[in-house]
Amino acid sequence: MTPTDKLIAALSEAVAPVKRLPSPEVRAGKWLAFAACVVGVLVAMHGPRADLAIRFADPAFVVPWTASVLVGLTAAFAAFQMSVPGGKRTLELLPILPLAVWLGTLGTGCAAELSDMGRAAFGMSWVCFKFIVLTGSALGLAMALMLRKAAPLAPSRTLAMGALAAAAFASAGLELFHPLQTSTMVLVWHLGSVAFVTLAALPLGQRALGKSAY
Amino acid sequence: MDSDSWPELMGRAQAGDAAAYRRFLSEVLPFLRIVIGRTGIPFDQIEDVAQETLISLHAIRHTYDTGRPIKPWLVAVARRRAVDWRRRHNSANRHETPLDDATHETFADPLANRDNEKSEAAASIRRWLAQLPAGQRQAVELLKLRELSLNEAAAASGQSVGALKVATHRALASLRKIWKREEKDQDR
Repeated sequence: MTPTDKLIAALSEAVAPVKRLPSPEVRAGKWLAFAACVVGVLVAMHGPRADLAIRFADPAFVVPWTASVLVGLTAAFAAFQMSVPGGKRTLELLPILPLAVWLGTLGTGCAAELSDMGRAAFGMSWVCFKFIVLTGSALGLAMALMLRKAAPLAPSRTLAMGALAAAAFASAGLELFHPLQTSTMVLVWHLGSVAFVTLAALPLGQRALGKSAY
Repeated sequence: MDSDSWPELMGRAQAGDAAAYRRFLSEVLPFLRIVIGRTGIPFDQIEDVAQETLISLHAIRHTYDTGRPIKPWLVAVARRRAVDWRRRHNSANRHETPLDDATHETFADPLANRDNEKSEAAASIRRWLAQLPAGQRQAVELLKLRELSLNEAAAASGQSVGALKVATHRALASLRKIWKREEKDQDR
């Protein structure tokens, strides 16, 4: 009996029933439902902004807002795909398109505002930063707890992808009850906060998911 | 090797079926060896990496979804273990140098090296003492190596205390000269 045969015998003798992990799609669906509930409750608590119906008729609002929701959806799906061996690596690229649309539409609006209004287009909104960081962290924590049950290949990248999903949903929720006057402010405070949450998750990935990594 | 049955076997293994699991591991092993071999792992190391892959598969067997193809799952884990092996191997190569000469042997434990150096020093002292006149050599052996008192050394050697003092003084001066001469010879 070779050492490998002995190992196989030992592993098979020690095998115990395990609870099979649901598919990444199912797990992503569960997290998305949880995230939608959390953001929905927060929007309801603050009350939707007065001009919401008007804003949803304006493509300048609808396109970047929809893109931010799609970033959340695709990043969540990608994070759960990345958490199991054998997932398609190209899925990691899924959020790039909506992210480009989000950045592009806000960037175009920002450029127009800066040429019309100059520095007046920019204003402070630490409330946005706090909301996105706190809500994004809470949703990201829930995501991390779910990802820990799997076996990610790259813990840091996987957690950052989850954080991107969480922060993008927080940003989309915030848009529903907290109006900002200009696209420049949305670009700086919303996308800036989403980038902050995503980058902050990178160094935490190994600690959060390292033990379950394969 | 019927890879069509692997998802079913793995599904039964997840439910705790030891026989199915044993069959599954035995059947995937040749496939894993091929995958690992293609990553460029040396032939004599493939079996080690395959064993590490089996252990990893065991640890994360709950992550396999029986509704999905199993080969990408196996390949991902096997390639990961191959990457880990390469990383360890490269790291070891950076910090280790093969020994091709027994005279350069050293030990990881500093105490072991100290003992090794001690024995080398003792050999040098014996060689230097052999070059001294008999009276001087005896004085050093009794007073410095065996650490006898002057009276004990005088009794043991039959020399007077004064003669022993003089002989020791001259012996140490001679040893210093021999030591310096050897150092100069080594520097050349």
